[in-house]
Amino acid sequence: MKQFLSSLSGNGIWGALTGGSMNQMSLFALSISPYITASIVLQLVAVFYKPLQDLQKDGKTGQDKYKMITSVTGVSLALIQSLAMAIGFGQSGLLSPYNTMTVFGAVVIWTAGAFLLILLGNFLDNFELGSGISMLLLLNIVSTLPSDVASLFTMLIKNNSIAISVTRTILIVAVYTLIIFYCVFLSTSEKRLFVTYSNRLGRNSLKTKAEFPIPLMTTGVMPVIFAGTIITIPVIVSQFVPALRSGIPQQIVKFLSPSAWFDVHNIWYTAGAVLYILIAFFFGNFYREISFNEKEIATNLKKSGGVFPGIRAGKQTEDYLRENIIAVNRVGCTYLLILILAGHVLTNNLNMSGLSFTGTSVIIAVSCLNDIANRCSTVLEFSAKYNYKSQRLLV
Amino acid sequence: MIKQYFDIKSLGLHVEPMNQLVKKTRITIAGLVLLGLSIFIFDAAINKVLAMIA
Repeated sequence: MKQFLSSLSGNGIWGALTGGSMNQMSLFALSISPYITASIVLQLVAVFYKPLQDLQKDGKTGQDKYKMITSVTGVSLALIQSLAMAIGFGQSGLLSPYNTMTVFGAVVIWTAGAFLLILLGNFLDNFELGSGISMLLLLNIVSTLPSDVASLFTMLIKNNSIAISVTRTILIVAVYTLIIFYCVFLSTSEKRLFVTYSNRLGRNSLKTKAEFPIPLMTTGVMPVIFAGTIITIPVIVSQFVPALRSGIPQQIVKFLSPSAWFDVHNIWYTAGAVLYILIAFFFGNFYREISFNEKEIATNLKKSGGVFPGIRAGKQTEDYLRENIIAVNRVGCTYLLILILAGHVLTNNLNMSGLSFTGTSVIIAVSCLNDIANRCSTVLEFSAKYNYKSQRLLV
Repeated sequence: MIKQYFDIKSLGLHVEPMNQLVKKTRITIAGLVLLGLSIFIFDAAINKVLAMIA
């Protein structure tokens, strides 16, 4: 069972996001993946279902209700996922004895584990250091670090001369530092559009300037997560369907398997990476369409008296915003794909496709850590200037 | 066309100053190392306790 699961969860984004918990088939085998799936599904549904959209914009009460709906949907998805897994494993002979009681037990345990993690994530939200689910995601990713360090040591450093070991250690540290620096650059860069607000004060009009930031990672890591998930579906299905493991279907599955790309001995499989890039750009654009409502932003700007210099309020502002968001999103997707594909080049050619801390997991971990660090520094700055006893600002 | 994707000035991107990026990189690396070490120590401790119980 462990061998079979390592082949599924070692590769791709789900291996990193679950922290290898699927390998252990423990209480938390599903980890927080049902909650993540539920949030994506509800975000897509909210595009077409107005009451859900209104809940998101309704202030704290609405957002609490939306969070509860997401949690309930997450638990329901966990139930469905654990049932499908239990039946799938049972039919493949990996769940023994395969009977109603074993399947029921597995479903209850895995669903309870996912439910506990969702509760823990919601509890961590109260500390206001960022999203609790993001923190759990960060811990899942970081939990694979010790085993990755051990793998790197065994593969590249152990049983070599001191000179080679030291050189390789320095190289590994340098490469990872560069990757983390690149991720910090990706998560902190933005395009700033200048907005001028004019407010009337009696007979006078007051003009203030503000900035409208468009983050470089406009859609976050969603394009690569969607692309990675879709492209590995045939690989996962082939594990359950023996007919796909020979002949032409096997070649197609290999073409879609990220661990076969950029291998100098079988370079033609790299064509799968081209398909991956196209899917990532498609989902980047799709996710941008559903996340940003340029019309609403333009309307809100108009209501608050804000204009972009040289751009008329209304339709022109909407078009100007759309143009800029599309351009930044395209560049952000490109930079993100460079990171992911560079990771594949390194791991596939150095025979390290089992490493979890590469590509998407690094950028998620770096973004979460940066977010937590920013919030902590804001809280510390505020506490330094605010006397909690007398409830007065000191500065 | 490829150049326009990498020319930060023409893209109008606001990139933080190098010292800020380096500072954030250092904080991130420190955070990852600390978290990784804590998880490793905690995992080893739990395994030891479970081995004693078993």
